[in-house]
Amino acid sequence: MKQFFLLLVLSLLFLFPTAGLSLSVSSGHMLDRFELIPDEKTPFLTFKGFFDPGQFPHIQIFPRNSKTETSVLLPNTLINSILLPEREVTSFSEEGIMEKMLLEEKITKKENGEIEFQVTLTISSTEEHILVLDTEKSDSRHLTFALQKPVKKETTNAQEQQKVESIIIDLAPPAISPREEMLLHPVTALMSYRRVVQLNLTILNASPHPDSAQRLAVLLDRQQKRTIEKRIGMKLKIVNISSVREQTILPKTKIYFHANLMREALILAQILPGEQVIVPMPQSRISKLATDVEIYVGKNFE
Amino acid sequence: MWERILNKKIYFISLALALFVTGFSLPAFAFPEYTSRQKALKLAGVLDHGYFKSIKISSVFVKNRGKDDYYLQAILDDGSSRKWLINRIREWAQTDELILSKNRALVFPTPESTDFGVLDKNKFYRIILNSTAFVKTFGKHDILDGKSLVLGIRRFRILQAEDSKYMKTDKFGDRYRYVLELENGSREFFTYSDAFLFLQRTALLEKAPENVSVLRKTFKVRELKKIPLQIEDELREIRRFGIEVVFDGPILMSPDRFPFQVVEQKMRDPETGRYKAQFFLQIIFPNSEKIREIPGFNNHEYLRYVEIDTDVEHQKRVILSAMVNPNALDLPPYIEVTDRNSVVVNFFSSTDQSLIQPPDLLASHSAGELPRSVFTPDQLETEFETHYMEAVGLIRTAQNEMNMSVKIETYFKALDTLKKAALTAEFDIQIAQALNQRDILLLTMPKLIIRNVQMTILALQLDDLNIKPDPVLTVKLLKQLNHAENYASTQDQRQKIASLQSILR
Repeated sequence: MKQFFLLLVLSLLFLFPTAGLSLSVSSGHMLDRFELIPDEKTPFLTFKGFFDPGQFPHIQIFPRNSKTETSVLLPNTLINSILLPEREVTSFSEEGIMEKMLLEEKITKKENGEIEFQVTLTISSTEEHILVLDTEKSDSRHLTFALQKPVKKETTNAQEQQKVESIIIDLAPPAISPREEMLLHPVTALMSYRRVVQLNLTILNASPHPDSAQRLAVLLDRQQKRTIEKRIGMKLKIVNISSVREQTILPKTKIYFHANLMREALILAQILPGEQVIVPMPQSRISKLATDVEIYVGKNFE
Repeated sequence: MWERILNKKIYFISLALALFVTGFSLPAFAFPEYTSRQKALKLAGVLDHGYFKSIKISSVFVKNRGKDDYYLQAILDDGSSRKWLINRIREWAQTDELILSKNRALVFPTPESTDFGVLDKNKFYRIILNSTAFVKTFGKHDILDGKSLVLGIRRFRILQAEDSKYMKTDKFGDRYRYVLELENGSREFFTYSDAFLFLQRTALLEKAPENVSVLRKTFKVRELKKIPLQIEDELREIRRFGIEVVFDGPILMSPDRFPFQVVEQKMRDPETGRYKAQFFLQIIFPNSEKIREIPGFNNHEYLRYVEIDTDVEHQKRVILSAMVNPNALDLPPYIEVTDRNSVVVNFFSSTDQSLIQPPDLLASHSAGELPRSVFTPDQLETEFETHYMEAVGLIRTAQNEMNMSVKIETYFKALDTLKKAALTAEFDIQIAQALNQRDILLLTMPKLIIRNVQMTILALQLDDLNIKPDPVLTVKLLKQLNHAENYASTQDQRQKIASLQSILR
């Protein structure tokens, strides 16, 4: 054991200065050549040469005034003038997205004597684009940018108008179809619903105790199942036990029921320990037909 | 002693306890530390040139821990470089330690998600100051979940030190920043996230649309009235009674804005001293106030202690509450908004237990998921639906008809329509419901027909003993009796029918 620790300490002593040295060494990128990989969805602009992946995060991309122009600042970068002599490239295919690319190499000497070198790329395209560094396609020999087509803004003027209109429709008194009218009235609803033979139940935890839903499920399924089934006249099936997202803690257990199942929800409330609130399923969740009754276990459940 | 302290068991127990306590004190739902690449790139762009603890942010880069776990690395103007996890960014944004440039605020409107938004405060101020109405949408687990009210705006203010919620936070840790005073007297405190969401869902209206009623004052309760018990459905022997809540003005809301709930309360029995569960049916009236004492009732059919109270948890809400026996509550209440400045809450009672029993329908025993309503979920009106809805409409018309003869004729039409519905049914549930409905009608009709013929004969006898009955009427009544004869369910009914037939002939 002692030998192992000794070895570990020695290894660490050896590793730290090495790592430190490696960080202090100044390194950068060298651009040798480039290639435009056409693609209908996302064309890629790949530079070949020598690159330091550790410095990829320092690459800055900023759009120019025109939406078809983007500038990329590559710090610690030099251009291989032999392999890449041109500073303005316009020889792109007419069908492709790229129109022009300018390469500007800037080497400056700082006051402390250090040499700073950087390359600025200015990319002009035929259509709007968003230039993104593709780290997955970039490594020590490749530097790849994706020319993404902008996703249409979620709210254009027309959509905004549509949104306002839909809100107005929501706010206006609801236009009730004959079918809805029938289902809304308890007596006519009676003529439209089938009495079910199995009650599908979901138990969700909305209490600070992480296992409350589980404990309630055990209580219902193992201890009270027969009593409940006898009283409601149908089978009881717990189809889901889980937690509620959104940090919801309910002071009292809530039982949400679908239309025509109020009686069953009331029977459950009578059997469950503690105090319950029994509520019709909100309109927003009414389409969830897989469950008949949802129980949100509140913090009053012990 | 030291030996005991250093005893391994004690050490492990203490360690376990410490870990347990630490784990227990942690929030159950932690905000993620990392995000996706796309979101991280976008967030880096947003944070650029902002301020972190009063130091300008020079640049922000995206870094990753694994394939999908991205975080940010910030370089500040003082030359320091910091690793910024997403949960820390959220916390700093909430406590104003991280401020965006151009008077914007970073918000994370969805709890537990690294989805973020940027609130342009200047744009928000311009919109809210020009708004006249606020669309209040109720949140999850509120009794009005997902429903909206359009409320008139009185004044918008930025929270000051003297305000009750100044520097206080909501349950997600976001600080309250603004208050919106509404014309109905309520106040809405909200955070940057709320403001962002208001803009997202266009909750601030410069001008309310013409067909939307803006609530500028509360409805004030005037009185409670009893509506006596009456027959609602003679086929199933369902009776209806109600409570009318009268307000000081017209009710500018649809009935769906008055939801109900049943609340269980454990109350001490004064005789035994033991706790007993009591159930209270509550109907909620939003944008309403009780400004004076409103007498309730001790009893009204199966309701006990009917009263209207102010909701102490929500602003401008009153609750109509009544104690009920949960076993008597087979059907939910039905709300109607009247043109008499009132809302009527209808309650139903029935002695027929078959209403709530599952049908002995073979199809319903199959393992597969079956539709629970006769209507198809895709909202397409099928031929069956057209006939079935017509039949239900005819039944309801007949139930409200005072003239017995017209009522019976309407029921006959409903029977024909139900047959058409059954012939066009596509699912077991549809044909079962159509036939079930037909059987209920057939069971009730002999009783109605006997009563109708008896009453008609009696009326003729009272008018003039020597007058000859109208042959058309006789044929019509005999036809009805023939039908009743076919479906009579008791010996008594058969005897009565035979007797009436002989009188008419």
